[in-house]
Amino acid sequence: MTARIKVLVADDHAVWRSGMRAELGEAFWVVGEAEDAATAIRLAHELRPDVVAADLRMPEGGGLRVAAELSDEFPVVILTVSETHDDLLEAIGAGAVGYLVKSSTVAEIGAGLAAAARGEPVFSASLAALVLGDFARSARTPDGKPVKALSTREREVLRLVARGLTYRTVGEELYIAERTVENHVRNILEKLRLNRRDELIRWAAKRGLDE
Amino acid sequence: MQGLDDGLDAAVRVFRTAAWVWLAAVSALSFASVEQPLAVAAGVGVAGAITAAWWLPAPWSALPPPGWRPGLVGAELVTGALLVAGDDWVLDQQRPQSFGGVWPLAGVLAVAVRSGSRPAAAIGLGFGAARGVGEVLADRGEWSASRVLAICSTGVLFALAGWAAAWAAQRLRTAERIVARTEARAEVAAELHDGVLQTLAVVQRRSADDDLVRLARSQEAALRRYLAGPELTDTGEVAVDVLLRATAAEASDRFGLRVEIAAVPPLPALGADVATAVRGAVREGLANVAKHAGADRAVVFAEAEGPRLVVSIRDHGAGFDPGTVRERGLDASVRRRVTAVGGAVDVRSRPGAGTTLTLELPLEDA
Repeated sequence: MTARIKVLVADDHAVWRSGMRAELGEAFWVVGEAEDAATAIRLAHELRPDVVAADLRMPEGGGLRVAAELSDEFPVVILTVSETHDDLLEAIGAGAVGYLVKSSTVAEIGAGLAAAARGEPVFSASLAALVLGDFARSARTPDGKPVKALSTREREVLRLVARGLTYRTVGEELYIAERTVENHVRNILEKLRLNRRDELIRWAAKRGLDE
Repeated sequence: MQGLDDGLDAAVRVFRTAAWVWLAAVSALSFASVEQPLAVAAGVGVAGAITAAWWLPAPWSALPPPGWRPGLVGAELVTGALLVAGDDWVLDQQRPQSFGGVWPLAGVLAVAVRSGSRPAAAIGLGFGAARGVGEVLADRGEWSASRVLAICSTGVLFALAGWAAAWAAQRLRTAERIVARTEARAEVAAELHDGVLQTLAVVQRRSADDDLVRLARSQEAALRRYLAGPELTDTGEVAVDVLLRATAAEASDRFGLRVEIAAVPPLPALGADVATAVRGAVREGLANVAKHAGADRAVVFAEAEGPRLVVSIRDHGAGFDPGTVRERGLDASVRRRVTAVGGAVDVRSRPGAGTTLTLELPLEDA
């Protein structure tokens, strides 16, 4: 039997935390619960989970802070009730491996957490759409030329994922291996992160000059 | 409320300055013919000093101090009363204009903004009385009914102006409070909804009671539709993502289908005809997924590509062979709506590999 996946659940809603504990099933072991970002960060260092599931909206910085502080050491998956929250992409840019919408089924949430624990991105159609829009946006801003633009192939992959195709069907469509699709997705996320960081630095530098 | 009061003070300050410029100009032009040139010069000078003082920075700061300056208001009211009272003495009776002009009103307005309608009206009446006293002292013979009336009307006019200004300021304050409260409520509502959505998601997941699950799903759909915001933009066009979210929420309510919206920002707004076509086509497409594909989820994708809007509906359900009855049915119900507005439809499916329905719509006539 393979080892159970250790999960840290960070969410300010108690009903959600107990729900995760009750439902995730045999393959998972909820090693800890946190009701705010600071506790989540402390507990992660203490308990060394395989994956951190963090609510986007929490006291003391929310999922954004959890992703920013933990993603170098642990895969962080953002949980959200609505994919229209504008800070969602910020959390991904800060290092989260993806997000899961809370109205997904247990099976989907479990699959997402398991993929994240294996080091794979949790990349849904709606996230792909947000990322596509973000790259288009940063290419449009005159002084904000992204350091990393998407290759044609990466854009094709992203668009097919946004249309709701699985990695396997994306691969079939483009005549490439499923594994390659996954690598593309990983590279796209990495580029998004670098661009975000670069944007942040530029923004900070500009502010510094203005003041 | 600080900002509003400061704004009103600033408005009074501008009014006072303009009134003083007028006072000074009129006095300069008629200087040669007035009876008491020294008094006129003194009045204009003092009023000018007070007007300037409102613009000068306080000793402790670089900006004119905001708000209530009792000393200055007092000096202004005394000067205003003297100008009104001295009217008859410094000018001769035949002159149609009055010496102080509207400058004394600035003091009344300053009081009105900060202290309310009653003090302002009282001071206005006080100015009327000052004029009466001035005329008695100047002692210009014959008292007539029209002279008494003129004195009374001075008081009434100042009092009315002060009262009206205070009333308007009060209304502005109330309006500002209402706006602040509404904003706070919207913020609280968003927080609350977040919590309610969480709870509804948990109920759907954990309850074994089918009716309860259906109820929670339907409530969630209604809440999401509300949270998505109004479909109509300010220009009367329809926001694509809001339309898609509302249509998805409806399908989730009717069929229990979970719909993921993958909308690539920014999306353009649609004209009424195209919006109706998109809504109808997506509704049909999702109904088809729910009834025939045997899938419990679908992805609706939308992106603007140049002059076209591309919308696709993807499911991982049963799929079908091209040319079958199901394809023809889907094709007919969707194609009719889309071609009517100049769009195109593409259906791709294989048995066991799900279905992708793609709509392309022109954005020009939007």
